[in-house]
Amino acid sequence: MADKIAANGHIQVLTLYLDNQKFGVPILTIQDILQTHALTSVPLSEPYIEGVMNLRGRIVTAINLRKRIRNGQSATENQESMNIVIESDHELYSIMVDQVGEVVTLNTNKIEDPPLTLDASWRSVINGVYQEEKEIILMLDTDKIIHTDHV
Amino acid sequence: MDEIIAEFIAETNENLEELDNDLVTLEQNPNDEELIARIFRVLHTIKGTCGFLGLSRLESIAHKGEDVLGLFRDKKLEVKPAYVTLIFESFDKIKEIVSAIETTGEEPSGDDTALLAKLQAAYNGEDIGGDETSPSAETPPTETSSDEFEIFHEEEEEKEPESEELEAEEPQDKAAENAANPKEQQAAAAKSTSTGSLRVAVDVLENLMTIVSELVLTRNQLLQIARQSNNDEYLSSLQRLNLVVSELQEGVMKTRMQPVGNAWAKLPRIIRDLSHELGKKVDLEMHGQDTELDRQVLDLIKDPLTHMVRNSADHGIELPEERIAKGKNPTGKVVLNAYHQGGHINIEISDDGKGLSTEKIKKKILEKELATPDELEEMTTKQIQQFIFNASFSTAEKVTSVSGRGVGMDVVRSNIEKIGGSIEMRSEEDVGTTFTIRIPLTLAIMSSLIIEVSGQRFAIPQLAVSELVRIGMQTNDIENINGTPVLRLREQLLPLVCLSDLFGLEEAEDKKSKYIVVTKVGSYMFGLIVDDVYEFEEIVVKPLAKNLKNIAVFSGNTILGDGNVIMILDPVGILKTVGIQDVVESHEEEQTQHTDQGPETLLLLFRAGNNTMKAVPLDMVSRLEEITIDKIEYAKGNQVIQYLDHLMPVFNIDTNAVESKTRPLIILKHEGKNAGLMVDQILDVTKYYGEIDNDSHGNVLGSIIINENAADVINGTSFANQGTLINEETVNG
Repeated sequence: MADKIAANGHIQVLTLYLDNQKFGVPILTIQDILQTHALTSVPLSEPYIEGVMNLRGRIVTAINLRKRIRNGQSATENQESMNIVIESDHELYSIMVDQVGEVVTLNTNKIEDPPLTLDASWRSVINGVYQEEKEIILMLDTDKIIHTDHV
Repeated sequence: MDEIIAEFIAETNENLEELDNDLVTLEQNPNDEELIARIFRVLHTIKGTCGFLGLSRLESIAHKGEDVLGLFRDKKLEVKPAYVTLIFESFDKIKEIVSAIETTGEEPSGDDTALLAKLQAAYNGEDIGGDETSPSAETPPTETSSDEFEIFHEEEEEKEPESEELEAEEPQDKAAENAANPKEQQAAAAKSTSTGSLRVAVDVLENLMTIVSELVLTRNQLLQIARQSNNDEYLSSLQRLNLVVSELQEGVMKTRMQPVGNAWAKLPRIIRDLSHELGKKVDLEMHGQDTELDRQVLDLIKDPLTHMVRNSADHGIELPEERIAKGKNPTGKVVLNAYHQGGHINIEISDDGKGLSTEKIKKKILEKELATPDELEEMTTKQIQQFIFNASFSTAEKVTSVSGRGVGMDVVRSNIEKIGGSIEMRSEEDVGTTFTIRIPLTLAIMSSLIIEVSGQRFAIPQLAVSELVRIGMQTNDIENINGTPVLRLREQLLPLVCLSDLFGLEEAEDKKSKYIVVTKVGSYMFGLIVDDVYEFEEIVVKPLAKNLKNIAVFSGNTILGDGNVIMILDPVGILKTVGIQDVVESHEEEQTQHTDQGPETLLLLFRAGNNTMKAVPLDMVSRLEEITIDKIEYAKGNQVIQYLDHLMPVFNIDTNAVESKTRPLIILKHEGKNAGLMVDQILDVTKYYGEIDNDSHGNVLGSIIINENAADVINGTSFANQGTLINEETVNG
């Protein structure tokens, strides 16, 4: 485990893409990365919940990140999605994104607060911004994605 | 050290629980020496261990309590309710401290002087041989050091009755010791036999259960695959695995089973305290304590049960004067009864108290504006009584310290419904009230019916399904009242809920027929319109993820044999979602219209032999199957088929049966015995009002007229008694 976290102040992050925006998720929170998986939709659930699926005998709740950020209104439907499986409170969740990038090591000191001008629904799921040379990585807060207060 | 304390806590808790009941008994039989000796011993053990562990508060309470009990034992102090109450108080204090130690790991600070002074007063006040004994009792601190040591040794030697404090009374003590000795030996013997059991942490069992659940799922998946393949080698070992897994599942389930009596352990004490506080005389009778159910279920019903028993004693049983005036025994009775029925357990709580007062309830309903006077006029007594399950409803005229704060039966009901159970009530004014709780044996694995709605499958707990009705879409079986679908089922109007509408799913097209799943919540029936019905499957219930929990119509989800995840429907939640909050029983009233025609029996009608109509009481029928004739084998010259891994005899009612390849089979069940009845055609289920002679031992009970046709009523008991004992729960869930 120790080798996954570089020397103090560094964090390893998996980058992923949604609508060409780069996001990052701390690698230690990730359980699995899956291709598209058979889903059972759940009637009457929140629109961003795509359904539930069976991952080796455990039930995983799939969250469509695009719908989650856009409050249920999905502009583009992308069928080629990837599932990032995370565990929270002994429950498994899958965050559905367009594409998975690579693992990068970031200096935690350089992670800044998200700009206040950013749309509230975006701010509700990210907890930091990291500037790379060419791109900006938005750090996803997985707990916030799962546990929503808004209806 | 921590381990020792943990062990001490577990042991003390166990002992104290037993003692509560012992004390109640003691109060009734003050001269039971064995009881006194037992209570004395427990306090003594606590005292000794506490001294050893340095728990000074516990030690001093136990010590003083022991002193008082010592006087009881030596017959120097009469056992009076006041003293028993005092001992109870001490136990409560000990429990309080023990539970604090359990959470914090340390003895909490606190002042027990009042209690200690009371115990001392009891000790002195009625003291007979005061001078000799009191010095040793009054100077516990100086003696404890030697006590501890000796007691520690004594315990190693099977806890000999101690006497060092009461040296002055050696002759008497000797007598007591002699009296107690055989019991000690008994206890020792009991101890050695009990080494056959061992204490296992609940976590370990829970974990085991989870793993077995996974195993069951995997097995289901394998079986599913096996059905599609034809590899014999693989099939036979899979069958073996199937068997072993079933046995393992059964075994693990057994480890989780606990007698329902464990949830009742506290009740005698509660009733005792209550009757003292309220000045009532109440007897508590308990039957079926050994009935076992899942630990988890037991935990969940403990509080509702306690609440209801309390209610019965507080609201139900009248004051002795009142009872005498009514010509009843001044001592009221609360009876608890538990028994198995099918895959669930029934628990009855009945009292012979004043019953529910319809007038009071009516007044309350109007006060709380739950219904208009006009509506009330229309309601039957039973419907009015159901209002006690309404939130914020209490008929007690004044709030006692015991109950009547308005959080009552509605909470009880929702707690029971949460675990998939139901509650029913019968009450007659001045005669008494009976509550019947019906709960599943276990929550972890349950038998469910798999159904399909708009191409998506769901599971419904079998417990809630009372019958399935197939309806054609061309014929207008489903009627509408202002857009609300209803079904006429045996002359009753069954409200229907269309699941595809409820879920906002598109209705499946070109369906020739649909099914109605007749669902029962408590005694309220409604139908769910579904597209297709599959089989009953044993499913492992998995809790919903947090962000799905708010959807009331689902109680959980599960993974099916084919690996798909499906949602488990919650009938109570469905009712709530469609806007039925408080179910008022309606259908039962219609039945009462017929009471003058005699008792009502549900009959299954069928045709067998000579094209004549026959009937069998529906409550004897466990299942309807269809068998192919070549499945019938012969054992000892009798026709048998393999049913649920057993050989079950099948009977032909008439010899000149219709020739066909497959035949409907009625599985009859009576007292656990099953037998099959081959018939020509299953016709219908109907109601018959009137007596059907039950004493006959022949194969036919008698003949009755149904729908203007004669029908012979078959004596199902006589057939079933020739059947095989089959425990369906273990096989079928």
